[in-house]
Amino acid sequence: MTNLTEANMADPQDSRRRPLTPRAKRYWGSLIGAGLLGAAISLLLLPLSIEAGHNIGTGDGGFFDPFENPINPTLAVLVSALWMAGLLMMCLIFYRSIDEFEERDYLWAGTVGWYAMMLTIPAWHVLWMGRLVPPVGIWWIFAIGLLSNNAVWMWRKFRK
Amino acid sequence: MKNRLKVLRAMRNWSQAELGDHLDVSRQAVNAIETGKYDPSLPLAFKMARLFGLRIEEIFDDESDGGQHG
Repeated sequence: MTNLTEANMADPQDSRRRPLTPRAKRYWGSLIGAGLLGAAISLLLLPLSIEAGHNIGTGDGGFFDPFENPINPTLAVLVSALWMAGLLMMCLIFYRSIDEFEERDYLWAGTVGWYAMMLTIPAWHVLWMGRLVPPVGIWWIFAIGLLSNNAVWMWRKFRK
Repeated sequence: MKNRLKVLRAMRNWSQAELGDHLDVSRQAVNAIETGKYDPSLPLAFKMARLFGLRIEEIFDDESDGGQHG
């Protein structure tokens, strides 16, 4: 008969490396795929945009300036279509692979990301109206939403 | 909600991750259920019951009914 003590009731995890289940493969695959897609598009656009900036003499040294320069319209359509289709596909895979507890984590992270933007944009805009700060930067808002979302998601995912 | 999941898992010498694999959920989900931080959905509770060959009420204890079972 099994003798149950606190010691063997504790989680005997992590010393054994186990292969990922199909669900976990889809879960991590969708997240890594979305990240790689965004990184690949950024790396594709960065040199093109910097070159375009040099040609038209723009850019005052802002952090996101390299992504503000004009690029070829056909390339712009192709890249935006790739992003929308690619991210949509990754999101569908992700949603179909998360369990009910992870769904709660995702909702928490999404809510915090949303509120981060809802708090920031109006406050920033009003401060700009007082000419206290530069105008609202869309990429800064994107970064604030993304980082706050990811921070909450990682805290809930990786806490013990 | 109190439950016997930790004991049942220990009887099989499974880790939380291994139990999660059997139930097709994450280790975090198993941990949250075991520690009472999260109550599983009815389909997941039935899945647990089937896995351990028990009835749901033999795994979960609804403290709000005063322990009276018909």
